[in-house]
Amino acid sequence: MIVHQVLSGAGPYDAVTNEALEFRRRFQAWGWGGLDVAAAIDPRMNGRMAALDALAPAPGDVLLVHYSAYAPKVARVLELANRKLLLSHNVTPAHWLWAHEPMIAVQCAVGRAQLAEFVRACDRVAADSEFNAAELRAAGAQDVDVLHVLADPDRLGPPAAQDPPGPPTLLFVGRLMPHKRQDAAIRAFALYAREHAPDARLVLVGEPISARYGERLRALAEQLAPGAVTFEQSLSSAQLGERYRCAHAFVGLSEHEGFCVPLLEAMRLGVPVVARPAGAVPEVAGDAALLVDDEDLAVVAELVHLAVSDAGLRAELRRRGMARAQELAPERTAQRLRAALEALSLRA
Amino acid sequence: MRPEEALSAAREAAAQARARGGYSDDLARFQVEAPERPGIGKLLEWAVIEPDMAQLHSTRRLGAPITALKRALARGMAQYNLQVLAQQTRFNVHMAMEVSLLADRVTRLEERARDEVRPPGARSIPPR
Repeated sequence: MIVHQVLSGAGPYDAVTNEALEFRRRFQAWGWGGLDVAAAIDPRMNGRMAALDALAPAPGDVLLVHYSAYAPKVARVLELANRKLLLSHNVTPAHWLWAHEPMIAVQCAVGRAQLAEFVRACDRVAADSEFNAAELRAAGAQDVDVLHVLADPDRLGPPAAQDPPGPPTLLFVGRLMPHKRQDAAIRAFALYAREHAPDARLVLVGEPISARYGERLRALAEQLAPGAVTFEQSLSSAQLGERYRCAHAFVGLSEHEGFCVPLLEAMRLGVPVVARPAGAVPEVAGDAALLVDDEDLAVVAELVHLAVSDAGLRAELRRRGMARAQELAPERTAQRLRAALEALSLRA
Repeated sequence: MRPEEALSAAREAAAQARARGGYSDDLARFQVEAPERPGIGKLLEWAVIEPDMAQLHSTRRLGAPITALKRALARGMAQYNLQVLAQQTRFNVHMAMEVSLLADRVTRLEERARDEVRPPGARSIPPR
């Protein structure tokens, strides 16, 4: 069987790209061929993704179209006669971006508007969460397969054997973007540090949506917690795994998540999670995270304090987190993906 | 403590801390400020595209030869690129001008609407 994957963009620290590469490893293990192409490719991909123009599918080949952003070139793929599986990873609602990055907001607005066109043109549709599936149904899809994100569980190494030493360290991993609310994480952290742990640290890992937005977040951190907030990006898998193992809690105050791979990674590595119940977060977290939708950041700070200092709570969250990660194990997604693609191939 | 009990415990702890003077800092005013929106004047300024050749470079390590090649190609394509730029600039300028005219029209309509709800006898502003 030949399955080609089509992405709007590919980059080394992009969750969709990483999942596509993981899919390809599975395809190879199943003896399937095909090419992975993207409309825009970060030079740091070093040849791991081909240009969209290289796509020349034979009539029986299946196309797996990853939808995560507006990409006019990808829309041309819809004209091909091949069977297509659309996998929606969610496009960020534009209202989060108008004030900060209007150009990206336009792309998001058009990307969300065009989702219905992609749904109509594909033979089968899938989403990586129930939350995303609901958006696909709203866009006209009848049956939607839910394929939870397939992330290599060994990529970040094993969980820490015991609680990390040193001052309380909070972690969030995700692009520095307005809807990820790193600004709220910084404010909650500042309150927590003032009230409970003056030596606490906050580590924010992620590439900024723009240099300007990254600078503004850094300025906010310097105002509220001088010297206590670290910004990091472009980490290797080993480095990222180490950040999780050194964290006492993962604090995600994001207000829109189509899945949230870092949440799954934190649970897999035994890090207690405090998060907003936004988008797909409750679905991914199950009963294994402390979810808080209180506007009052003092409540968030107190919850963080409990997650860091209550040994019994930590142990239970760690146990539940690992169990939840097991329920979202990649093998299940791989089986469902394989079934969906094989069914599509049989219809060709 | 079980995870199910944590949120109510946190709410209670926050309320108790506030009662004894804790969490007194109001951090809500600390925001990531959005950049100022460009006005019509700025849009008109941006409408005329003037690419900076210095921005044409390679992001790869040891990319100097690639940068030189890209710049040579850009020079070779200058005649065609100028045509494309002229077309895009024409569109941009007309679009910015339309936006500017619409903004003026909205302002006039708002003024007229204010006049219509003005109490009888109050001086009205004549339409432009």
